[in-house]
Amino acid sequence: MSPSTARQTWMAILAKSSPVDLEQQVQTLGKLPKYTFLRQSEIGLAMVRGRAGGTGEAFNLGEMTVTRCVIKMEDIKGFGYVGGRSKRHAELAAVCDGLLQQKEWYKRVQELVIQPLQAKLSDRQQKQQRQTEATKVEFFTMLRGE
Amino acid sequence: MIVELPGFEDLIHDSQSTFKVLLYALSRPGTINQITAQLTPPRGLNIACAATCLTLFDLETKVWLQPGLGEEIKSWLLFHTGCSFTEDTQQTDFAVIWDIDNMPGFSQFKQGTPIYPEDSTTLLIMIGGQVFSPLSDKFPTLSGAGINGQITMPINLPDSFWQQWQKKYDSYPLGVDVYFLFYNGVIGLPRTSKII
Repeated sequence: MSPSTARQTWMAILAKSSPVDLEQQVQTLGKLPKYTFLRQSEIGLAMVRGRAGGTGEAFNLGEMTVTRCVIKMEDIKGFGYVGGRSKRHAELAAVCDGLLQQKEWYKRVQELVIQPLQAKLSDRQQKQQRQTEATKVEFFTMLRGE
Repeated sequence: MIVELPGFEDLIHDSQSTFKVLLYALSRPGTINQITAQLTPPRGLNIACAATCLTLFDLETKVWLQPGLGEEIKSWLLFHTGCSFTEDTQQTDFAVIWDIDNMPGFSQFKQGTPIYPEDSTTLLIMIGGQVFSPLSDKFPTLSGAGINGQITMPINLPDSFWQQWQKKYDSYPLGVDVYFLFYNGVIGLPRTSKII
């Protein structure tokens, strides 16, 4: 798989964070530039596909709700694609994507939004891992006398 | 190319009201109906045509654009509707036409099949203001489903168009349906309308 670009990274962080956390961090940015909707937040379905073991034949795992939104700030277009049905989440993700494409905003948004969210995400992930680890059961099979 | 222009201002209500107007236009052939949705169409489409496209096209529709409709329109439609485009008029569900004098003949489009006559092309024909010359005798009179007695088509179209239309009537119930679109108005001409 190709290494993800900086934009993919921040879009993933914006999408995976909880809407409440994102809203909180965006508040800290203060006054935002004006923006209009190129595509208003809309809720749809996406088919999630998987491969057994990461290498097998692709199969349909199931559908999930996806909310997407595109905003326009002057010449910049910000895209937001998030899981779930929170229209506000998609809008904020799109706004942050738009801001991150602008030099004068990039550093501030990285510091005030992306980094704190990333920290929270990795905390959550580690916690999950620890909890999973604690319940791990080792199976071993005894050879039958054959 | 990423688009510059948004679609409907009020997505749900604008597309619902436009759909209702389109239904009404086709069920009352020859009447002028107003599309109330607000939007800024890309260059080359009028408001009525743009609203119709946004309302009727989706991921499963195939669209044919008459040559001369630019890349801007194509990417705008793709962005807002997700429709796919085809060069083949025999395959297309909708045809967007801006130049009625140079459009392909009706028989070039999908006619439907006896089992699925509805699987035919719907023509979206944009017309300019010049066709609204005062009503005259040479405007054809229509009759058929949805017309109480008869009605005079309120627009001036090339004679060749009506000649073809008359000929096409032989293959009924197969054939194409037409919407005429101008500013924010729409006139429907379904295949059931016959010139008398």
